[in-house]
Amino acid sequence: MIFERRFLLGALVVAILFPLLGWSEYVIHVGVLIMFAIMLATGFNLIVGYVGEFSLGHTAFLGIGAYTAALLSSSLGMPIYFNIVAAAVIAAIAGLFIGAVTLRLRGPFFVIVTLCFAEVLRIVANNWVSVTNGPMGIAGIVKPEWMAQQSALQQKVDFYYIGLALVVICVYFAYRFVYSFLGRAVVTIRENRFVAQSVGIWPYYYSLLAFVVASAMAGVAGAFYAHYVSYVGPEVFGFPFMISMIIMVLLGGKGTLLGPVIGPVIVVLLEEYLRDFKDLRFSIFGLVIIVVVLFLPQGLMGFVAARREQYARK
Amino acid sequence: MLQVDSITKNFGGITAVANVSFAINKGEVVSLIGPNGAGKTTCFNLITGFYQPTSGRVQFEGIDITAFDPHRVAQLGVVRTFQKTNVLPRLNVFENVLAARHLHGETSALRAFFPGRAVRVQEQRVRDEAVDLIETLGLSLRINTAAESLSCGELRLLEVAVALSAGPRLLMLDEPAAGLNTQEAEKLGEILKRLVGTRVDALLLVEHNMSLVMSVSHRVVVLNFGRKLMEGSPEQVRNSPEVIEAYLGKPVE
Amino acid sequence: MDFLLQLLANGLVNGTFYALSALGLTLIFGLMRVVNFAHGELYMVGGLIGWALTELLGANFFLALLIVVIATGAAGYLIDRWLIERVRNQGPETGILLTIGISIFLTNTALLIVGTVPHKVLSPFANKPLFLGPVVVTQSRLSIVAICAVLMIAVHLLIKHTTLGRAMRATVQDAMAASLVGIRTERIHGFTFALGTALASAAGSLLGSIYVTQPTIGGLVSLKAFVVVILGGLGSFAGAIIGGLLLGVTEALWGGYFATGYVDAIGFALVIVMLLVRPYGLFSVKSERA
Repeated sequence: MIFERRFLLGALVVAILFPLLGWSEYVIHVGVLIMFAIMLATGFNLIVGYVGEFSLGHTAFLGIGAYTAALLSSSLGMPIYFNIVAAAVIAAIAGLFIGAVTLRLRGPFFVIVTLCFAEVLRIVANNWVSVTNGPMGIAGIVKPEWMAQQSALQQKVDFYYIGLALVVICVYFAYRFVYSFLGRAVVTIRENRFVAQSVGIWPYYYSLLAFVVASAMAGVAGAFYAHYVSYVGPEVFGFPFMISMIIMVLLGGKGTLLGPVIGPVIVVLLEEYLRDFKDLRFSIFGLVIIVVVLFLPQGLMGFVAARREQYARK
Repeated sequence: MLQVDSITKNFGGITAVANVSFAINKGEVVSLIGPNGAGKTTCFNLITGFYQPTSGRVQFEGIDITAFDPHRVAQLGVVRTFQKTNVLPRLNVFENVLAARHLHGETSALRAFFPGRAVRVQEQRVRDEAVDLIETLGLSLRINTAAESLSCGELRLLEVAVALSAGPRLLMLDEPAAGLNTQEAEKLGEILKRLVGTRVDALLLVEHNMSLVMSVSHRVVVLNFGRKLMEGSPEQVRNSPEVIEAYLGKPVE
Repeated sequence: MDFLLQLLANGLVNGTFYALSALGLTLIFGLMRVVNFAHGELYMVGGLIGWALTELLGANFFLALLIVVIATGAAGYLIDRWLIERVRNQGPETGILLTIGISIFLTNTALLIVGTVPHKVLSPFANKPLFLGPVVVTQSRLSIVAICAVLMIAVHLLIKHTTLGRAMRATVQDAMAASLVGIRTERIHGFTFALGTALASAAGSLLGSIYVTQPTIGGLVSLKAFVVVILGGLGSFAGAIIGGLLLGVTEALWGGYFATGYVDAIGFALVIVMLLVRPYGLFSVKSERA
């Protein structure tokens, strides 16, 4: 707990100071992507790592958040702050409904049904042209007015700090969740459902709570993404985002708080580095997943945590 | 306190439990015995909501809990352990017991995210209670050991500790002495006797270890082939020819 | 009325294809409790190999099918023994992740090798329309349906009447007991996965002569196969067939009478409904917890 707190604070300081070192626009852009990825990974980790169920439909909430922001911005001209909050709320409500349905199932059934929901949303987004503009998507999402006069570099730095603020909020909520009776309940359910029930924990309720929190985080990430990229299309419900989330959480270490912070950094950097090898990139991701599953199932931070426990015992 | 009325459970063509009735009063230790396959664990499952009875009723403190889910039954104060050791294997002893303290560590979800002083005090109290319980059960030396690394006897004790941690009024233990040697079983018996009236109001045991059963129980209920064979004091049961026959078969003429 | 019959015919034809394609998936789950997320990619590999053999090398359609079955079956056996074996007792989630990794790898490697251009497997069947009463079916589709049926019967016979099939069924029911009577359970797992792979690839090769085959179809094929298998019950042979037909007919009717763009979504909607109402599918026998 203390190690984590120190690590997170240290990382926060580094993150705050980072843009001041005068990097190029591209580097700041990567920084923004990392912020986006950490928001997503932190939420996803709550489901995969703490509830212990594997959701292949988390992009549903990313997409819902993104489209919410896009629609509010382009149709009603709402500003970014409102949109982010609205996206969180709407994604949370969606999480409540979808979670209420899917969390009745477990194991592969849960995996498949969450995937089905994400796919349905993608098909709807692709076909409901009157609202979502179909495959053309919604473009021209405006950045905040006070950014309008700034240079491209400065705009990216602004988004970086907005992203960082959102990341701090997400990680704070995740931290509080994990170290409260909520986190304990969810871990108990994950480790042994029978024990959880026999001590009075209602598995459905606590899993749903975690699911809703994770959905809200994904919604926030989606809204952030929408305003940064200024365009939202049906591919936001697509599998590539899901793959990234899986790798980030797996590699970083599911069921840890630092995992979803470290994982995205590594994966985003890896993705950018491999950008030249455009198609090879995903092949390598496939290999990475296989290797991590076979040889490092606890991910990096899980491995670190296990080692530290060994030392502590000595 | 607990009233079991004619519960029956059919699994397809097999009747695991048929018309079993008994009651448990405050301050009592009741043991459920019978040969393997008699339906004892099924009864446990029926009482605590892990199975639904095909017919019959279960009442606890006047409330009909027949159709309740397991967690609701636990919330009312009936906590059970399992025949096959069920703990949280990857967590250590302290974490296991702390996790079971759930009902006592609850706050509103909002407070979980924005904990004030009250929550911090409660968290500390819950932790202290867990440590205290671990001491009572004699597991203090292993408090930081992962559950999966414990010996069989210690595991059984941990299971009891976890169940106790949930704060039950009626504690139901399924074969707590399984795998324990004579000494360990005696020690467990001492701990169990002290529990009633202090930490719990009543105790229901399923047990094969007869000396443990005879030494701690006020009453014994005997099951055979899913039916209640008889009910009585430990002496009555020990000397009953039907019970002997159920366990050992008819004497050779 | 004619329109309805035509839709039904289309639905049954497509349904048979769905059924064959999902058969491998349900067998693997039924016998190994592993949800093979690489299923669609194995289908795709079968199709691409079929195309390469028939178009680039000019091989005979049936010969190509045979090669596909043997080659992918062998590959499936190796995947199981080298990869899946290692994580078999780590819980279902690990198997899912592993097969997802395999699927990603296969898709993108195929993209690298073959590119995005769609291809077709050359078949000896013409697209000549046949008139069965008021209903029109092309000769090629009908022939493929026939081959599908033959394959399904062959697999059924394999499982019910051969020693290998008995060994597989024994391992499903109790792996420990099976190994105690001398069944090499690791090999059985390997064979099962090989069978599932071969079926998926055979489906890909067969259907690649009617529909296009390209590296990116794996995802959709997997999803459809999941729908079929959940409708029919994970692990049920009959369920895969009925589920496939059900999906085919439902899609045809929905597409014919309502919206065509949302046709794919209807399958997922069915799954969601099914999982709420009867999670174990239409054909499974629900067993009580001991």
